[in-house]
Amino acid sequence: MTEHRTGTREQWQAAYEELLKVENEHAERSEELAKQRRELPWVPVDKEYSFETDAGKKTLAELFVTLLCFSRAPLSELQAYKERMEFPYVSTYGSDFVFDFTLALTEEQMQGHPEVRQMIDDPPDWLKEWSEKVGAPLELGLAESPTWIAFALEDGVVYHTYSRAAPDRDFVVPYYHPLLDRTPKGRSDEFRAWRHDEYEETVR
Amino acid sequence: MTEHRVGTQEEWQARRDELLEQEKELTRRNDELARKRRELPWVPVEKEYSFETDRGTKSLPELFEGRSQLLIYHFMFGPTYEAGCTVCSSIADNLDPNAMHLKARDTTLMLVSRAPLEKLQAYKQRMGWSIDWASTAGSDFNRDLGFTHTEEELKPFLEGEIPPTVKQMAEASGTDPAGYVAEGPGLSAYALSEGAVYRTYVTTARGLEPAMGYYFLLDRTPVGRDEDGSQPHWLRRHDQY
Repeated sequence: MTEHRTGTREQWQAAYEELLKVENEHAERSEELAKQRRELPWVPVDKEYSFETDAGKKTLAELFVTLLCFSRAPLSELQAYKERMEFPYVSTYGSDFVFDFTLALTEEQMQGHPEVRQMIDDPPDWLKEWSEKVGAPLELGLAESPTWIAFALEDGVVYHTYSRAAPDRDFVVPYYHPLLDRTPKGRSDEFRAWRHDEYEETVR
Repeated sequence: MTEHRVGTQEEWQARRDELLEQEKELTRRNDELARKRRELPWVPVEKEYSFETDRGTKSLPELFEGRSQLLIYHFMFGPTYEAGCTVCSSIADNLDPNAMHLKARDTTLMLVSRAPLEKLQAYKQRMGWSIDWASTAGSDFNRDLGFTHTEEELKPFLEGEIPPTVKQMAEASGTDPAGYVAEGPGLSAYALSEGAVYRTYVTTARGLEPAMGYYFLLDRTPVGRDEDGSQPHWLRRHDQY
């Protein structure tokens, strides 16, 4: 017998209707925030950046085709990983872009984050494992900051409109968390996702 | 020149910092909401249902495939449809690559529809999905959850002015409005505990938005969803853009 409270369909319905009010409120609040995001001032990006892509060097304005992943590793490394993972990818290797938009921290900037230093000096197990999996020591690995960033292109001018950095897990892992949130057990803090080609056959 | 307000980096940062506080507050509320969902009473599913799957006829407990949780997307693909609903197809595009991450979390994620299995299999191949998809043909499973409507229930709707969106969506699925709206989309969650199946959560309509990853992303772009504009029905099947 389950330890969870069980009930009739009517009891579920009554409890769900209460919950639904909160879910609807939450949806309204999400919409309100989406509206406020759109009201943020647009900031013209005056500096010229160049990116290494599969189709050669591109400017920021030339990247306005799709949803992209940026990383600081050289393009050759990204291409190999992309082939494995299948997503659009651009290298910011050698560009200030990542530091100007805090997608990565310089050594100097890292000094200003004692919590990062502490994670490097005394890493929890999952972080050690992560470092091994990305094949970089934490000093280098933690310099990167997973971030959503949005731009608008209008009349040839690029505007920076929105950024959201980790550690907010929903923004970094946008999809299976909301699904797990609707299962009986929910998401769990110890859950760590693997690369999709690293799961055992039973999962794939 | 843009009609949007343009600002300096400092102005943006100040507004962004305020908004960040609200975003964080919303995330905390989301955690709270997830907790409340888990507190809903579990309802034993006592009725026997049968499903046609790639591996033969299966009962509801068998759909768990040895895992303890089951998450079902009720995909609108009725017996009269020639192709799956366009919006449901965009949702399945999102669900498909995530099924393995959920399996790793002891959760089987799958699709069910009322069309015969052969139709589902052919369409799944067209879309290039690998997610499991079962047919509920001949079973009341969708009906009992309120995701299938009878002609009688639909009569008042069908006798009125049919909205152009419904006509368009029905046509895109190769059926008529009556056949199209007989199906409804939904998400339902189940737990398997000591051989007994419990239904724990059901949602529909905008409750399905968390399964629509593109909205989450569009909500962070400068223009947003922009569905009041010139392109209210912008979604297409991924092979029709």
